[in-house]
Amino acid sequence: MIKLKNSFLQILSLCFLIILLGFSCKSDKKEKNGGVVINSDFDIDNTDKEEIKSENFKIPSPMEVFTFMEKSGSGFIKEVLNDPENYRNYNSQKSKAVNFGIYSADLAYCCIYEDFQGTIDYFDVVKKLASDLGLNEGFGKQMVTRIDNNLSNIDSLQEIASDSYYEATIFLEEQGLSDLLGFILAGGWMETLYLATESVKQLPLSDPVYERIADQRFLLENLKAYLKTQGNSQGVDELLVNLNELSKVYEDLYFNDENTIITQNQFVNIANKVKELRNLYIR
Amino acid sequence: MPKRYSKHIIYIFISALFFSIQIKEVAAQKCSKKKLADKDIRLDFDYRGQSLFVELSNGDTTSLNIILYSKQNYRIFVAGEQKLGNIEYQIIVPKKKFNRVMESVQPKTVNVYKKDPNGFYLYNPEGERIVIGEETIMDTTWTRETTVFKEVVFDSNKAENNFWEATPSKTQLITIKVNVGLSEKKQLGCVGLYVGREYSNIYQFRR
Repeated sequence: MIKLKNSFLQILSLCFLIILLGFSCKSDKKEKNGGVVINSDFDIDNTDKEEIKSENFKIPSPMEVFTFMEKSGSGFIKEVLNDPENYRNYNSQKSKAVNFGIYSADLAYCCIYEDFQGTIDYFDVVKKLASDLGLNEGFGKQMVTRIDNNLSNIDSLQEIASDSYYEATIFLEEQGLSDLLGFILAGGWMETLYLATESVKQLPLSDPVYERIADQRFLLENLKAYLKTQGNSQGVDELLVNLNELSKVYEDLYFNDENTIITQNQFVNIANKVKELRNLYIR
Repeated sequence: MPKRYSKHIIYIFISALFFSIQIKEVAAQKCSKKKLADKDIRLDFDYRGQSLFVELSNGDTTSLNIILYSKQNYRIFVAGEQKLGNIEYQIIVPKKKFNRVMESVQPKTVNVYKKDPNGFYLYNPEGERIVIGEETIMDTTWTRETTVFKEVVFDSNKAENNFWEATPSKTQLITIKVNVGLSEKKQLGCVGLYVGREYSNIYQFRR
């Protein structure tokens, strides 16, 4: 029992690690002048005339999609998750960061569906990648102690979770994580979309999860907007090129009539493209 | 391990995942710990996830781009420290519209295939269409032009309430734009951009 309890403590501590996946982003970007924008992208920041001190982008957590899927009755499909053994193939900082995001989404997926073994397995691999990326030193041990002391008190645990917000922030700053954050966010989002598409393949278009899949175009826009503020590193540029391909597929949805959220053909195109992109990063 | 503990831990686990991290100045971190908004305005909405807490001074402007999922209830408002004085904010919905526009028209030589009286192509025994000649056509290349319109759905200067509540019928991207008014003595203080979500159905699940 103690061993099991420790495992859960580890999982809980991972919560705070996964907070590193915090799906928010900030840039210091000056606004341009302009009127109605005609652009190939969704430039939401070009029409105002005042100077913006900072521009922030946030996207809802993958947990919202997974919880939605679970509540709407989508089945758990463990076999499509990224094999934890693939961890050994990731050597560059970029691939480790992207797959940290992917594995964290897999972990969250297992957690929502209460798959205990999957949660343990993915916790383990996320912990390894976090260590490789230099993310897991610092606030984690102290947090685990606090959790241990309050294990039977759900309210205290929630308070601890709230406190972790600030500690994680400090941790991120001290570790200079911002350059990796874009990769982590992209990996987590990509995996979320991939799991959603795989979950509904056999279901009719009337299933509500299709709507959430269509909705991801907005998250993609925000994610790209954030990445564009991250300078011109080769890794970010490549990621943006790949995400732009997915954007092009998503653009078709804007031509749908008001009563059509997504067509079967559009869904297939999105599912194929996200699978193709994901496969680029997990191999 | 008692099952209720594991269940609690799972819940906390999920709960923690909703938190978002801000990569910003250390000074701004204190802002999220400050009580900038009373329970009266917060109500029972869950503000974890897409809220933002920043440190601004008089004359500063900041913006937050977020996503509102369809069929969920949201309450959005901005609150700041009193010393900052008047804080204005707008909620803006950018709407994207695509138009198909002609890029070029070029002459192009194409094969002409044999058809049946109903217009359907005829095929040879190998399953290929049967070429009966060539013709020159004008090949039009189309491209897409994107137009973004912005609609201000809330302006704190004009609104009756000091918050905006909405249940979008469709998922949408919105921008919250905040401007801290000028003052004779420039002050630095915390501002919270509160994005609250309410749970009540499958679209507004409570864990």
